[in-house]
Formats: sequence, structure tokens, C-alpha cells
Amino acid sequence: MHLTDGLPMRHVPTVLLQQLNQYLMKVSHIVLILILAVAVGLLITTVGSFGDAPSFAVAEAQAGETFKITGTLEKDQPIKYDPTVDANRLEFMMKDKEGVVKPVVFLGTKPQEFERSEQVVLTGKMVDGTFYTDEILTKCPSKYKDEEIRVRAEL
Amino acid sequence: MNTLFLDITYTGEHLWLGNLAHLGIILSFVGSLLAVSGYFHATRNRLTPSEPGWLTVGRVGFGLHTLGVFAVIALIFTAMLNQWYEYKYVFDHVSPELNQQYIFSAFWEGQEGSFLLWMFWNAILGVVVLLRGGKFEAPVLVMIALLQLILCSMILGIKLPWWNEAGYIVLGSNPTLLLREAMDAPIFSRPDYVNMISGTGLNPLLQNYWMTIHPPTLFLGFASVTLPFAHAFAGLWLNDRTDWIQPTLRWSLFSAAILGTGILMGGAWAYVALTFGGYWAWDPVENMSLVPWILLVAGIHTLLITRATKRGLRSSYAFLAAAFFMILFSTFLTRSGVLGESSVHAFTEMGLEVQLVIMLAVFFGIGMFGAVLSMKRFAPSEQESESFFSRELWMVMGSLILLVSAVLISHYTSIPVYNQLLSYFTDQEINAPTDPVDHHNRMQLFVGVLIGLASGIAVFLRFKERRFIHKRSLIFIGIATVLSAIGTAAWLYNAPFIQAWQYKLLAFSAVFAVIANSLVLLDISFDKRRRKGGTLFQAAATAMSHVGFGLMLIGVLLSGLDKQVISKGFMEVNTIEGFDAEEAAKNVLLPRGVPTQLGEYTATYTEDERQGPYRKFFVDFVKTDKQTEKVIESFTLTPNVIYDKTLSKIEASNPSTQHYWNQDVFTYASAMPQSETDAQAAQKLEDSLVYVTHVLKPSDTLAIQNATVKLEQIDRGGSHLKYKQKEGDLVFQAYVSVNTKTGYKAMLKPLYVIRGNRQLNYPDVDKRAGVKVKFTGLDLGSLQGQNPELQGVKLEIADNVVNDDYIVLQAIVFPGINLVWIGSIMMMFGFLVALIRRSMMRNTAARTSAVQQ
Repeated sequence: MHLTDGLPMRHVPTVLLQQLNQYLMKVSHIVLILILAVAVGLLITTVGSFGDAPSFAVAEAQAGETFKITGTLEKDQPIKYDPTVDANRLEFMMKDKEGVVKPVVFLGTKPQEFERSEQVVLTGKMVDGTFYTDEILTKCPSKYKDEEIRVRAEL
Repeated sequence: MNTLFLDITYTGEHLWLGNLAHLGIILSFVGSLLAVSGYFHATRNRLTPSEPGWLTVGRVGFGLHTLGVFAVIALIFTAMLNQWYEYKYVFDHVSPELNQQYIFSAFWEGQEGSFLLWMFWNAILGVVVLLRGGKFEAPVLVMIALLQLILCSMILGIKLPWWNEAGYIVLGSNPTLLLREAMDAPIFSRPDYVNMISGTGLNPLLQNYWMTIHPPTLFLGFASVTLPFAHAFAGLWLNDRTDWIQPTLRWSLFSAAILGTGILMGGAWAYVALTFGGYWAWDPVENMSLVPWILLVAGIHTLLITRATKRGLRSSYAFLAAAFFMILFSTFLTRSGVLGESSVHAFTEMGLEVQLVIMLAVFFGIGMFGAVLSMKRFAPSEQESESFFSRELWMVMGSLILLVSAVLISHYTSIPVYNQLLSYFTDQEINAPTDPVDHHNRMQLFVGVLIGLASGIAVFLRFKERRFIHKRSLIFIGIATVLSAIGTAAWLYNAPFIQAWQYKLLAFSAVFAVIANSLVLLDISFDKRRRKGGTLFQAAATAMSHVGFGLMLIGVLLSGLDKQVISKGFMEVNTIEGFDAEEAAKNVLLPRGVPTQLGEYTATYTEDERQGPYRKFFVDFVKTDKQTEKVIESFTLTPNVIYDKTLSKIEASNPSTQHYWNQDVFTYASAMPQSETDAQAAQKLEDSLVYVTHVLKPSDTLAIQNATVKLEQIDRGGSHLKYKQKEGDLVFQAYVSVNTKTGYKAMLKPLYVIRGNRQLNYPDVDKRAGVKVKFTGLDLGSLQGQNPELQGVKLEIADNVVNDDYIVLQAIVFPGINLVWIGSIMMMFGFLVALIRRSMMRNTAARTSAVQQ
């Protein structure tokens, strides 16, 4: 402790504190740099995977893992939802972007205008050839797109 | 563009309005151009005075611009109020059924209307600066007028020659476009088509008072973010290091308070009126209005440092410029269609992409130019503080954490933009994390922890501390830590749902922020020396915002972690190997009249009420003591749905919530019988019925399969949900009571109408009784004299109606949600109080200088 050598005793704490402060100030810069470094790290890691959009095939290959799959509703196939049997089960067939059709079970109620949806986005897992999901996003055509100009009904 | 019917002279159109409004748009465009150049030269003259006329040019230009904007808005409102459907904007957003109180909502529902709303606020704020801006008037208005110029171009709707197939491009989407210019339809072959068309109206989801108050507040917030940036840039431009700070700080506080309130209203709307089942969904549009607010708050903190220590000018500029840029970026995201399927809010594509990108590029260029200027002009003049425990250092850390938060949120939200850019090079794309809510929550949790701690510690420290640490600060930080530790321990003991260490840390940090900031306020209010002047006022503002932040975190923890879905309709038979089906099943079937256990409550769907397109379900909730079987608590919730015009499809489902001081019970109808939501299913059900015709006199009874039916009486006149009265109608209503063998009673009221030589009947049904009755004719007996005696009525009765009378309900208990609201409102109030204090200071300063002169 050469710093305190020869100093009167009453000044020793002050000098020590100054030393501590200098040390902390240095650390504070390091802390700031660390915060930014962590942030950059998070940015890179949370981008998610880079690759092809996930499909049923990928979900099948990595069964048990959660995927977000975009596709279209098979409108010719039956869409089953009967709340008197089970209020949390909607069954339908979906075609993914690669053209593969798989049965889907959504554990919830049937979204409004589901039959008219143009695009369906599912988040869930493949279990035994069926895709189970608890989150569904449907994109419907704009509400009045296919509606002709509304003519006043009773003129 | 309609070319077929060019030679037709239309009647009944109000073309003057469109022409006038388009004139207004052009006036406001030219006016803003004039204002930009006038104020630009006026600013340069401030530096080297030579041509004083430029300031007048700028003022006149901005005045004309404002006049133009107001005129356009007033004219479009006129067309909407009068329902002039020849205008596409009116046709798209108004309908004869639309309640006049929603006319404002209809106005800003569309892309063009919301641009006009934004421009309206920009113009008003611009006029305020014009009148009171003093030395910053010219440079600040250059920025506002430039923004207005670009926004004007979005609604300009003029054709420019171009090297493409059509030979021209249309610049902007004109809100005064005629319907017949926008689309082709055979009806336009008739000169009097105007009398025959009718608008499509406002989306029913938007027909509530939130849609009336949320957009104007949010857009005032959006508009006000321009001002802090413009003032900071003005400081740079005029090479002024000190004078710009006060007005910038005032406008930043104003902006943070308004924008924050706007965002908060959006959350409240989502919670109260939509069926998200929450107040914040990390939706791209929510995120992109939150990010500018976070940056603004960081900017306020660096501005406070600047004011106290003359340091940190560059970071203040950077934060404010970033906040403004993120407002523009958020506009780009929501209006360019790039978000596509990832947001519920996004507008559809309107061909404004190029203009939006130009807007971003222009202001990015200006912002970066300012950043380069600031390197020299805003370089610090004083020595850095030497102590680790100085307030400025901790405030800087807080601001940096806010920056990290903003970067993380905007980065994630921009993934669709990255993919759009990538799509030009490769088929591959970035796959965002599958659960955005979980992702953001995990990231922002640490932001919450660090901000809570930093805000609690910083308030005890002193600016420009010379010593290592002020002894008093150390003591207070110690007391606050101990109290918070005790408080958190007590809370965690009573809240077993807070399990993970991360949440425990957040709990401590939130409690610490509340206790530390309350302590500071107490300390100052008991200290005669320090509470003088505005210090107490100032401390109250700070404490209010910080305590509010802590309370909000506590509320988020409670409502997020202890949220309970009580409508668990899961059945064991549906167990799926490898998938948590029980967790996913959040809906329960409620047949009418059958009590069902939902958590601690017994819920019964008792009745429904229909009125026009609205249908309300009454669900009774009762909580009884298990031992004494006494009713502890009971209430009725009324989740409801809105049907479309044909009354056969559901357009919107609205929740109903019971509020308590400590928790909310939130419900909505998540599904209904198909026969009541789908015209085809309804027809199928109708076809399956077997009707038997009976002729009954009043008081006659009749035995059917499972019930006895009695004709109680026949009335002249009456009503039915689907019956619309016309002059000359002869209306009869039968009152038919049904008593089932199980003891259930119902009253059916079918209607019979004679209209000219047509007969109409409106049946009534009671699904629980299984009976449907059609009233199809009168038995007038002998037709003698003027008033034939009514002998009886012809009723067709079906008794095999399937009982599908039920609703599917989702019910969630949110504890502590009031703390989220109270906390965030306190935060905004903190900004407001600080703003009031600074405005008072400004007035005092103005008076003092007046006296001195």
C-alpha cells in the first residue's frame, strides 16, 4: 500500500475511497460496454433461424418442437367444430407452402369467417402425423372486396 | 378508371365539394412548400441578417397551409355528414345505419383520414410555435413544414408523367376521389346512380368510444415528437448550446405525456373492448409506437443531465432524433403493407411505398447531418464528473438501458422488413421466434429490473458529486434496500406463483423503485431548507413517474403470472401425447340454464337479448362459501356480439368484465351455435323441422309431443326483430305460451303481417322448449259487416327443434390489473406535473426579464 505511506492516519480512508472510485469509474465504462455487447449478442441470437420457411415436412422431421407454419385452408375438406362435443377442438386440413396437406387440430374455438380465410398461420407441433396448435392467425380477404356496390335495397 | 360512360351527364352529384377539397389539398401543399423555403432562408438570415422578408414568406406560407388542411378536413366531414356516397371515401367509411356519433371514427378509419388527422395536429403545433417560438420559430417550422409537405404529397392524388406502361404515376391517394373514378360498375351507366348507392360503413369492431378518443390522442403524440427533435436541430443550426434546452425539454415532456397516454388508451381499448384477453400483445403496431416513447424518455433524462451539468448535449440530440425517426418508421411499417400477416392493425397496401421510403430517406439524411454537426457543436465543454456515485452517471446508464430496450423491440418488429429486403436476393428468410409475447417479455424483463434499480438509486445521488459518495445518499440507499428486501420477501411469501428467480428479481426491483422514490419525496417534503421554490414540485413529478413505473411492474407481474383462465373446458379423453392440450383448452360450453363451475364461480347463461344487430348474453356468476353454502358474491356479465346487416353472421364479439379493486373477471363469447352464425346452417336446421298446422282461438290449448301449447291472446300491432314497419301494414301478433313436461315455461310471439296483397310471417322459436311457431293466417269466420270478427288464427307449430341453445365462453381472472393502469397513469402525470412546473418557470423568467427591462 505505497499510496498511504507517510500519510497522516486521518487521510487514509479518503485516499482509499478515491482509489475505489477510480476503479469503479473504470468498471462503469466496462459495464456500459458490456450492456451494449449483451444487447448486440441478443440481437444476433434472437433473430431466429435463417433458412427456408418452416413446413409440415420440417415439423414432422423434428417432432416435438414448436414451429410456425403458413399455409392455406383446404376448403373442399370438412371443417369440424362442434362445441357440444368439445368446445376446444377445431379440425381441418391445411396445405403448406410446399403443397403438402396435413390434418390440423386447433385447440380452441373456430375463428370468425374461418371458411373464407385466404391464409392460415399456425404455431404448434406435429404429433403422429397431425399438427396440433394452440395459436391460429387467419387472414381474410378485405371485408368488402368481393361485395358489389351496395344498392339501396328497397327503393 | 371508368372510361365506358364518359359521355354521361350525371345528376345529383356534389362535385363542387370535391373540387374545393382538392383545391385545399393543393393549397396546403403549395403553402408548406412556401413555408419551407421562407423559413429556411429566414433561419439563414438569422445567422447572417440580410433579407428580413423571408420570415413573412414563411409565416404566410404556413398560414395558407394550415388553412388548406382545415378546409379539406371540414369539406370531407361535410360530405360524410350528408352521406354523399359519390365520394369513395364516404362510400368506404359511412353507411345509412352508422350512428352520427361515430362520424369522427369513420373519418380517421381510413389511411387518408388518419394522415389528415396527423397533419391537423402538426399544423396546430406549428401555429403554436409560430406564435410563441421566438428565436426558434424559423428553424423549427422548417422541419414541421417539410414533414407536412411530404405528408401532403401522400394525399395529393395528382398524375405525373412517368416512364411506365400507363405513361403516368399517381402521386398520393386523393381522399376526394369519386367512386365512379375508382371502380367500374354497371350502375354508373345510369345518370342518377347517386340516388341508388349506399355506403359500406365503419367496421363494427371500431364502433366504440375508444375509436373516438384513441386515434386523436395518439396522433397528437405522433405530431408532438417532431418538436423536441426540431428544437434540438434548431439549436445545432443556430449554433446555440443553451437556449434550446428549455423549450426542447418542455416539448419532450408534453410529447411523452401525450404519446404515452395515447399508447395507454390503445392498451385499455384492447383490454376492454377487444377479445385479445390482455392489454398488451407486442403487436408490431403497439411496439412501434412504444419505441419512440422509450427513446423520448431516454432523451428527457439526458436533457435533465444537460441542464444540470452542461454535458450530454449530443446524446440528447441523438435520442430525440431517433424518437422522431422511429415515428416515421412506424408510419412506414403500418402503411406500406410490409407487415402483412404479422399485425392486426396494418393498413392495406395503397401504393404509397415509394413516397414513404422517400420520407424516411429525407429525414434520415437530416438526422444524420445533425448528428455530424453535433459532434463539434455539441461537444462537451466541462470536465467529466469524477464520482461513480454521481446522479448523471446513473441517469446515463438508465438512458442506455432504455436505448437497448428500444433497439431490441424495433429489431424484432423489423424482421418482416429484413425479409422483404432479403427476398430480392434469396428465397430463404429469417424465421422469427415462434412466440413473440414470450420473447419480448423475457428480453424486457431485464430492462425492467435495471430501470427499477437505476431509478431508485439515482434519485438519492447528487449531480456533479465530488466525493466518492454523499454520506446521506448512502444511508438512504441502505434504508431503501432493507425496506424493499423486507417488502419483497413478504410479497413473495404470499405470492407462490412468482417462481423463477428472474421474476423474483423483477419483484424486488419494482418494490425498490416504489420505496426509494417515495422516500426521496418524504425526505424533501420534511426538509425546510430543500423544499423551497420548485424543488418539491420537481421532486413530486420525478417520484410520481418513478413510483408509477414500479407500480406498473408490480401490476404486470400480478396480472401476467397470476392470470387464471377459469373457463377450462378440457376433457381428459382429449389428452394428446406430446402436447399440452389442457393448457390450450381455454373455452367452455355453457348451455342455457345449466350451471357450470368456472374456477371459484358457478356460471349460468340465463338469457339473451337482441336489439337490431346487437345480441347480449346474460351470464350469472355466483360464488358460494363451501361450508355454509351462503352466497359470498354474485354478479352478471353481458358479453355480446354484433351481427352483420343480414343478421345471420357475426361481425364482432365484445367482452364484458367485472372490475374489483384487486382483480378483474374478463369474459367474452368465443363461439355460438352454427345455426345462429351461418345462414346455410340456419337453413339446414329449418329444413329439418316438421310443421303441423293448427287453427286456434284465444285460450285454446293443445298438447304436442313434449309440451302443452296455449294461445294466450292476439294483438293488433306488434314487433319482431326482423320486421321493418311500412305504412299500410296490418300487423297481428300472437302470444303463445309453452309448458314443457319438464316444467320449463316459455312465451313465443310470432308475427303476421298483411302488406297489400302479400302475407308475411315472422316466426318465433324457443330452443330449450324445442318449439318453433309460425303465424301464417287469420280465421275471420263469417265476413259480415265492416269489422269481421276474429275467430282464430292459423299457427304452424314444429316441436322437434334441436336444442343448440348455448354459448361458448372464455373467462379469465386478471389480478392486480388496476395497478397496471394506476402505475402507467401516474407515469404520465409525472411528465405532466414536470411540464407544468417548467412552464411556470418559463413565465416567471419572462416576467423577471420584463421587469429588468
